[in-house]
Amino acid sequence: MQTSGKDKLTGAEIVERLADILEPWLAEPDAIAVLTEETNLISDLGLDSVAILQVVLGAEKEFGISINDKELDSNTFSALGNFARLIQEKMHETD
Amino acid sequence: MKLIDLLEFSALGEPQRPAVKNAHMQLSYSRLLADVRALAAQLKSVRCRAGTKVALILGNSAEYLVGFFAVSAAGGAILPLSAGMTLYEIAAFIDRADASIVITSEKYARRLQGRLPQPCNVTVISVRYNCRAKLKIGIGGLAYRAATPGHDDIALMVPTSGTTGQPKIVMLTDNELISNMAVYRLVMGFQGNDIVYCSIAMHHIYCICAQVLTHISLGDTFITHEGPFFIKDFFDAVQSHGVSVTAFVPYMAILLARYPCPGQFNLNSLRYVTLSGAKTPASTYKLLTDKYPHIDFINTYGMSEAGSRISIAAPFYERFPIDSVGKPMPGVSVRIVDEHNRDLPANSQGEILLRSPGIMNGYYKQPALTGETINDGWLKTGDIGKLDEQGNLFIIGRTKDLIVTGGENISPVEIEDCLMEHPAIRDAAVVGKKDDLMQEVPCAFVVKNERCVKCSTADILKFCKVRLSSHKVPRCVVFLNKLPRLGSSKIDRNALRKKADNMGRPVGRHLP
Repeated sequence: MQTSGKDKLTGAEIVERLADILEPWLAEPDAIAVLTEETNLISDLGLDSVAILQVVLGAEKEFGISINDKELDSNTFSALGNFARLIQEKMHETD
Repeated sequence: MKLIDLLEFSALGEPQRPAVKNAHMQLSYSRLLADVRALAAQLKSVRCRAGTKVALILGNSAEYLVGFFAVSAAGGAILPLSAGMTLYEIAAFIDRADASIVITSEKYARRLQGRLPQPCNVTVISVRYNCRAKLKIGIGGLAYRAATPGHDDIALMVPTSGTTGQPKIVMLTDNELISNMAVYRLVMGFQGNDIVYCSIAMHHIYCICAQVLTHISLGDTFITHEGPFFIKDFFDAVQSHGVSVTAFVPYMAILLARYPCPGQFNLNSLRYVTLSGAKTPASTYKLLTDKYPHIDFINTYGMSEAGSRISIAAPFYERFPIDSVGKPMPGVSVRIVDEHNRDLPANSQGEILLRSPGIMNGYYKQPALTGETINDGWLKTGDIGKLDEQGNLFIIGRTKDLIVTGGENISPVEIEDCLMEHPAIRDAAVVGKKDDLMQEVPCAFVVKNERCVKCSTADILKFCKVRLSSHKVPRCVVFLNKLPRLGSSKIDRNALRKKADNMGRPVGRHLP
């Protein structure tokens, strides 16, 4: 479901929605139960380039935003909270 | 001479020079060698000797370098595997290669523990550098599997994709690898003192030859990058470590070419970027040379069966057509032949055959396939190409039904076999769909069982994800009533490719 820019989601709510996008790409399906804002998408969840691409695409669709290449680096995915904050910023830009 | 000798010589010459740096630590050549010897001693204690196959599942890391050279020091054969493989894939390769030891991270060791099928009983050794750069070695899952006899001189066993879908393992000796690396190093004109950014997969033959063996033998410093590739991370590394050399596969080159504002970073130290894994589009090459005029972008061509490098668009005083992969390296002979194995004149397209001291020993336990691939000393590459009058080599296509995605070769049959295991699927075919960034992505055409109408795309993708590495999971699934076939049985892959290409892009944008 797309979210309109007017909805103000908290970081925790974004993480919750990201869980659905992440689920198919997890090496360990059980990891979905212990996602927190500190979870590292690369070292904890084992996402590779292909999986990261799919997660970014999924987030763009889910939250109705567009993320540029230059806004992404390892740090963006070193904590789920960082990625959630980037999504939040992008949602505010589209308000 | 063995691969370990390359490290021994460098550690003797420049013991204090940094061998590897990453976000967490730095290791000198003498420390790296000491850790390699410590791990080699542990390997010998679990009966590693000539003929023992040791799987390395370590990603791009300092630990990978330790594991790689420790296996050589202990006399075993290195089987480098991707840390992105699923347990199914890992088990298949361990079984196929008769590996008796696995060296991996602590985390991956926990993942493997008790979850590999019975025939895969192996000794699992975990390695990890702690926060004080001390190497921690753990041994668990002790299960002695007798080393298989023969192949005592094999140094490296490289998994590669075949058209049959069954894993193929290329066997290479120390001599084959070192002779190929030595010529590559000579043609490239490397002289040491380079800082090497290592972001292509270290388990690939491209990285093993063009980076690991080449730059360890020169005593250079590795900046290892683990995880997905981002241009911004690369630029940060160039800026903070003074990176001078790197190796890219095409999707990385495409990202570099279209990065919007590279002027924000100081990239002056970067001199060479080698390009391989698949053909970098000429338009991307042009963009790169216009945007980064101080960097030499060097097209190269290689494959596991050739002991890695075949041709290079170097040395730098010579100009090469931008869509060529340069000239065959000294010692490598190339022929272009028609379907009857007759030599073709310059500028004619045909299959590329080659002969060189680096050519593989053969495929592990597949003598018939080895015989089909190497005929009278000439290796059939399966690639279609041409040589111009100047002897420049051009890669045009391939004879095999392989899908090349982001520098990785995938067998469509492997994905089809996985799809056919799904209870709701009666027939399946997978083809490469053209993609701006990844060259191709796998696209699946499936025919459902009449009784299983409820099977959805999501069900199929979930099923594949558990069994296949993520780059092999189809990006699109198309349901058909029946597959188009040529004559009675052969799938009409050209028709499916056209259908896939006409469907529009599977994803809305492209990123690493």
